[in-house]
Amino acid sequence: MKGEGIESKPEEQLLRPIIYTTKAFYVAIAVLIGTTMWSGYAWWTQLTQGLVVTGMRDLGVSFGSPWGVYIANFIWYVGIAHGGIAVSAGIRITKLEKYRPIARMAELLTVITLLMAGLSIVFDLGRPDRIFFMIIYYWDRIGQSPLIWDLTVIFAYSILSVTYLYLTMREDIATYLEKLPRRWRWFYKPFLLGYSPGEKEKVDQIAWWIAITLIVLMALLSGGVIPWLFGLMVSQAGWYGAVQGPYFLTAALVSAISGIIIIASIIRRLFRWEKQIKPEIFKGLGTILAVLTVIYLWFILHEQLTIRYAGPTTELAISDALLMGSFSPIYWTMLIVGLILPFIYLAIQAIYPKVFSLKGTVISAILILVALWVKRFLLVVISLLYPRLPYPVGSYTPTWVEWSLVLGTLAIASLLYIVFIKIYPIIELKRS
Amino acid sequence: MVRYGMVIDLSRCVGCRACMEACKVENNTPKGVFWMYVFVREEGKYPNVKVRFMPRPCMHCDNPPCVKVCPVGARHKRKDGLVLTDYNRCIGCRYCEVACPYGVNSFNWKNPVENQYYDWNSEEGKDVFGTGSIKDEIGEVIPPYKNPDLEELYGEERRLTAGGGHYIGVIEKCTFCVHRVEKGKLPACVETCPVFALHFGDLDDPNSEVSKLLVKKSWFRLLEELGTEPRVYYLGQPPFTHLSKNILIGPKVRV
Repeated sequence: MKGEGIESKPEEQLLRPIIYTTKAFYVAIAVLIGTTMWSGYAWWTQLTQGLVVTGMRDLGVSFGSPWGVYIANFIWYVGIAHGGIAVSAGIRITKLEKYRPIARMAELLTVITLLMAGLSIVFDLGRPDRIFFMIIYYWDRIGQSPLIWDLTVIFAYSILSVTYLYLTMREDIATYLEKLPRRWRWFYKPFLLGYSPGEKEKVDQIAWWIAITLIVLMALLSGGVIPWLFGLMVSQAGWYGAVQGPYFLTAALVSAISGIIIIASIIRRLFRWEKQIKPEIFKGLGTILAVLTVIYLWFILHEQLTIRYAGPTTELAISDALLMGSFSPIYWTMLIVGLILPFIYLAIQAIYPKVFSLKGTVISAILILVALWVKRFLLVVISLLYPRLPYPVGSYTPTWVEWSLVLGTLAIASLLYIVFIKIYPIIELKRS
Repeated sequence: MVRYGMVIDLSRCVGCRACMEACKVENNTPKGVFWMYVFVREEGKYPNVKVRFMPRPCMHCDNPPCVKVCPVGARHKRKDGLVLTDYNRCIGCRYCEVACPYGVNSFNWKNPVENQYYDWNSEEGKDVFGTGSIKDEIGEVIPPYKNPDLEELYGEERRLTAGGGHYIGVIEKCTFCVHRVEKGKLPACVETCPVFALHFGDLDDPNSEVSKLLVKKSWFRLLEELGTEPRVYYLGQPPFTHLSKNILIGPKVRV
């Protein structure tokens, strides 16, 4: 076998995906590009015919929901992004050596999901050709519009997380440059601009400060600006309220940890890195996930109890639609299958280590991640279908264009992830 | 300083919906779009029945949530109190629509020209006029949805704010007929109302019709508790508590 010589050293095993290309890689790339092109066609349809090709319609007289799966998708991605960088920064700040193999996976997840969050907003715009107006009139609007706060957050997070990812990668690139075939080296050299072997200490210091900044900002950004997009809208019952801040922050962390568990398990399986990504990592992440999920469930309890006990009419209509109305099948499935059962499983696993199974942890993470998408969808849509004035109750069914574009963001995200893994080592190389 | 406002006398409204019709004719709003909307409510059981109506234009709030959330400043409040949309600046994020508790915004989901009640570009005229399209019959006359009055720029800032059906992918809503008001005329709905249920004027002028009505009769404002400070005042009894179940569904058109 070709790679046999490399098998022996665990460190060089980390470079195997870069040096050898399998057939599966080409198949995956082809499938993902195909999906992306399909969603490109869907976007073309939407651009030429207008948003009429989506299921969204005007609130009120046209009894529709002006926002739909694009916005749900946006919140979902932003949540993963903010949580992802928090996990990675946490690992670096507290020097959790055990979890170090997943640090870069989390950082990469952040960068890519942030892009997808931005893309979801672009899909949602009626006039994407005018998107730069948001920058032209930035200073006029920053004082008032939560959407501009959002734009600021996404930019700030993108710049910080890309810088962070790059800084922590420089040394690795320098290390493995010599191990690569000569004909590829030109590609990596520009990344090493100004590199000197003694820079490690300085770079670590900068990365540490960026990590601190990201963590501190997190409470105000993921637990602030994004939920404020909804929590400040007094017009929409079900959105308005102070609970949205901690609610969203918890959801962000839950979705990010689920995402990392899923990605780490796929990578582990794909490259047979059983020694590099140990089961203890999944066990630890599963325990954290259990704690955060129960906190999230606790917030759901708060939210619903407050509405149902006092029973203000507009809020109650929304709660009724969720708990016993037209959305109840989705809601209860999401709650029980997507959150409660995975929580129970993960909690049992945390208490009795013998029960631990990697498969179970990953399935729980998938269920939770899907449940959080559904939760965001319900959050966005239901309030808009039950307006404060006595309009007819609305209805919203996403069309193939919307599903294609949502699928498209997943395909592009996977594509970027795979290409990155192909070019750079996804696990930090051990220094000798 | 002028501060425009509207007074709607619910005890006079007969629910004829002439205001909705007048608004559509005046502003060329596309299909399924009603800037003025009349809520209808039936109460009681036969033979003791009462039907009540409530017209709902844009409230032109003094603390407008839609203006606050707009990321580009397309939705703005003028000094004379009108809350308008700059169709040349709107990016179509629909945040104003989400932020408005009254549901007055309409989005151009489709190209408005194709979404008029009659597609003036199509060959459909064949059925009506025998040969060719309607263009052949009316010659080079401007089709109604291209009212030149609505293409003018209004206000101190000279912005494209009047009328509807301008561009695909932008938000539009009731303008209090800015193009008429600036010429000293009344909004189309007010002008049309056959029973004088709608009144329009300067709320800052104590001698104006609206101010006098507000002194004489008791009034309420819609969803006042949300702090939006609406500039539309209703005289008479509120026809419904929020989300009451007995609402007759009015126009049920979807693009």
